Amino acid sequence: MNPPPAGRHEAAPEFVLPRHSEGFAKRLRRNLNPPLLWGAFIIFVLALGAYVVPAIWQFGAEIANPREALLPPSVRHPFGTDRSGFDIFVRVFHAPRIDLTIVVLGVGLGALIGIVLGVAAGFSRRFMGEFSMRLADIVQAFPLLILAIALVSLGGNSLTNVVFVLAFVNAPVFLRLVRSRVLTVREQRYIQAAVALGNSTTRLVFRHVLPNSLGPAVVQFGVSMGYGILTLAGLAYLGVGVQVPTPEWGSMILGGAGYITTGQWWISIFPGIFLASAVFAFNLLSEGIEQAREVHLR
Amino acid sequence: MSDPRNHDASQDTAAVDNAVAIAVEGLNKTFPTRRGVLDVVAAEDVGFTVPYGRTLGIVGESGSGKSTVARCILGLTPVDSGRIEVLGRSITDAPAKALRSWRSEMQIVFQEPYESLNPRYHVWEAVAEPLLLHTDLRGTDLARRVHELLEQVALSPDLAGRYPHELSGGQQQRVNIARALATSPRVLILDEPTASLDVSVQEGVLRLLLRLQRELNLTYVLISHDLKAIRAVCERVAVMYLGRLVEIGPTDEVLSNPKHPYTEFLIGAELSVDPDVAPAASVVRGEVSTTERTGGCVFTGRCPLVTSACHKAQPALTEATPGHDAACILVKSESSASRRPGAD
Amino acid sequence: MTAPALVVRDLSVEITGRDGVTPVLDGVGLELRRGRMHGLVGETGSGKSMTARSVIGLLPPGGRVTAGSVQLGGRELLGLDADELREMRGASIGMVFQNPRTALYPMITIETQMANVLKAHLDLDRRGRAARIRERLRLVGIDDVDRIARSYPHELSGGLAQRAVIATALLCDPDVLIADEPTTGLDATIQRQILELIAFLQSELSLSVLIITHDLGIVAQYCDTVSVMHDGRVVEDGDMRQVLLSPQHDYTGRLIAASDLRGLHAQRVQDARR
Ligand SMILES: Nc1ncnc2c1ncn2[C@@H]1O[C@H](COP(=O)(O)OP(=O)(O)OP(=O)(O)O)[C@@H](O)[C@H]1O
Ligand SMILES: Nc1ncnc2c1ncn2[C@@H]1O[C@H](COP(=O)(O)OP(=O)(O)OP(=O)(O)O)[C@@H](O)[C@H]1O
Ligand code: SF4
Ligand SMILES: [Mg+2]
Ligand SMILES: [Mg+2]
Repeated sequence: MNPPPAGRHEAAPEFVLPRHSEGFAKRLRRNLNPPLLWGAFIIFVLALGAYVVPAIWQFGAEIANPREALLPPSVRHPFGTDRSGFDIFVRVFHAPRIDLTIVVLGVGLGALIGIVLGVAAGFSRRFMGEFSMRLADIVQAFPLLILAIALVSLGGNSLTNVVFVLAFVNAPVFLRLVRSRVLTVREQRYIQAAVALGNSTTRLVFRHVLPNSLGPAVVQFGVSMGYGILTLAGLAYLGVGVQVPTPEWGSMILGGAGYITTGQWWISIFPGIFLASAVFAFNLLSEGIEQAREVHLR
Repeated sequence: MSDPRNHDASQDTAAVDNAVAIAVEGLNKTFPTRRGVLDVVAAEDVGFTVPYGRTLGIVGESGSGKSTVARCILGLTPVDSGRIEVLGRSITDAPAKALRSWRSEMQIVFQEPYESLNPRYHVWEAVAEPLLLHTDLRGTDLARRVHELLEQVALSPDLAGRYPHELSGGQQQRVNIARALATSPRVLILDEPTASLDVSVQEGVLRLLLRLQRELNLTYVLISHDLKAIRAVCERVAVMYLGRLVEIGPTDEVLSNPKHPYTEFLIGAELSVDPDVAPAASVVRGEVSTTERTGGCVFTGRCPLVTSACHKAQPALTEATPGHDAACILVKSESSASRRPGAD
Repeated sequence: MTAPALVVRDLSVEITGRDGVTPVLDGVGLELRRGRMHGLVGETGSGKSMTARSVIGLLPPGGRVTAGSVQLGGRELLGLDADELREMRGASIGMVFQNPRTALYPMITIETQMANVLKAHLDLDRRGRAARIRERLRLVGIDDVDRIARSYPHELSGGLAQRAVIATALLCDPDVLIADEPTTGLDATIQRQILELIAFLQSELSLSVLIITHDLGIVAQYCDTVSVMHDGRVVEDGDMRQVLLSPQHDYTGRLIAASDLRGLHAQRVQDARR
């Protein structure tokens, strides 16, 4: 072989390039974008507030003071109080401890199960494919809340079960999304090329198929988080899952719903604003992650 | 193998060199069609051999199964029936794991330069991947090897951090070539490897391939529509039409003295780069179906020389001159050449 | 002489990517006369595809026209809004991209994709669309129209996908066809058939064609005029015969000299003898 000109060859070591794949974290850092930053910021503030505000505020989140029931917002109670005399300000800040934890765990678990089954289903069209799709059909055919109540009443009314409920209802959503992407991606020529290069099936799945199939699932994650908080609220209203006096946005909103017509708007409004901003933040975050992952295909 | 056909390809070398690197025998592959009983016959009874250190060209009608044959050779598409051996190993019934470990020795450049690159891998990662999979090169050694490969295909190292969609067609194609060469394979299948390269780069790439072949005794299968490229690098050429091998023989002879009417069409349709040489008026007309098999010769739908006998059975490859076979009833060893109208 | 169908003047384009700003075109100019075929040849990576993409307003993300003008039949195209551009594409300009399969959506059959283009630009009923789609597929030399129409892109061979894309570009009878290496991956007979079809449309419908190719044979036999690009610039242009027979620029000369790969052939023969 003709050796390349000496000068150029010496340049090789300083040939600055990632030794291995440019990792997810690196790409993320390079591709930081406004939605991602804003989403992360809001979630961070909510999470931080959940621990800081109750620690320094004069009222406890779970201590009712019936003598101060139904007070409008004031300096003493910036967000007012509800009918039992709970200080809404501290409760609204305290709520993410339950809300975010359960939703992140529940949707996260659901996404994990859905992605794993989705890849398996997309890969083996026959058995796994049919089986998991029928299962998904069955799960999704039930109205969500009824399903959740049934599960919790079967498994007992604990928060762990609420996590499983969320996982259970979300898994089919992710399964479908991932499976349909995998079905497209597996037919792409670069997958065949990866096989021709000698990739093992595991590597093929993790390095080639999965990264190219995750896009819709990442976006769905944010959407599902939003829905998850709403589901949690719905469940709490029905007396399932979170119990009084644990502060939780959904139950606070629903608990104050009846008072809006009589003029005590603050009971529902403040938890409502916080819930909406959490939902919004998760959507921003997932949108941002997807934007960062995107390498401008085509 | 004892196939007399190989003999010609290597008549100018010692008999020792006659060992076969790629052997394909009775390869059949059909794809089911949606909503239909009839299947697409992508390859039917295809057979050929390529000796070590040689190049077989494959030309033929678009959709005639060239890429399918290429993929079958490397076990990327399961065959319906037939036997395929590469470097003395049977591909058709190899366990997946064994097949994977052989892949460093047999590589392919796919026809679609953009689609065969993972959109999330930049140039450097794409070229480094086979090295990471099959060699112990890491760090600086890896970087040096990747650099060397990019240089071989005349790609500027500045492009190493680009993603496939940030490259021009020809640059993508060269990434594919560099990637296929990375592990120094002994068998290389090239499916239209130079189609989107300008002629001067194309010449450079072909020259590189020839040099590697000479130095390392590589074996190539070159699929191309460009007869000029075929002429320049292949000792032998096979012609495919609708899934069948219709002619095979030494390149210069097949291209200057074709025995099958389709080959003749193909050559006649070539465009001269000299504006003063008008192209021969030969445009193939007539209906063909990839799904229907009438039982007769595959070319009956378009053949100007068709006779009733042609509809009876598919003619087998018959030796016209030593080492030069064609599948046409008009081929009756040696004498048939004179019957070819327009051959003069 | 009638007004040219397409005029590109002083076109400069740069792409802002992750590694900064890359200039890709530097003052490119070309002129396509009505009913004629203009060849665009040149080095790989010299900006041929970018020129074509600027004309139809489909530069990659980060791409920006920094100077110049593009006129289609006297109408300035640079600065049109997205809707106007969409209307113009498909209807007045047909485009064949370099990687045909990327122009096809993977999960949709060929027929549906072509029908969608028709729906967007022409007023035809279901039956009319089906008939037109089949007619165009037949024109590009596909005989099994029914099978191909119902296929998904990954089920087609390279050449079949390419022809499906050409058929799509011709679907709405455009005035100008921009074809980026439309016949690479097609065998010589089909290539001829498609070039003959285009030549026919040129004379019948005064279709004007800008063809990007590496095959000087196509230029020599079918083009009326030609431009040669090198490193983001047009280094030579003019009448086809003049450029091919007496090239002025050094690069053009090299291109023509390499075009029949004769040197390589000689070398192989020599090697074989050794
Ligand atoms: N996965 C598939 N499913 C169904 N049909 C297929 C599939 N792959 C290929 N075919 C069909 O098989 C035939 C042969 O295809 P192949 O890609 O081998 O042709 P080719 O000779 O390489 O053509 P080209 O020169 O156009 O690339 C074509 O008719 C094609 O449509
Ligand atoms: N997204 C991008 N970012 C930066 N540079 C790019 C991007 N896309 C293309 N380029 C560069 O722009 C130049 C022109 O590309 P273009 O695709 O127009 O070349 P071309 O003349 O069509 O070449 P070919 O014949 O190989 O297709 C190339 O050098 C390419 O690397
Ligand atoms: S067998 Fe008949 S139809 Fe077939 S190629 Fe020969 S002459 Fe033509
Ligand atoms: Mg092919
Ligand atoms: Mg290009």
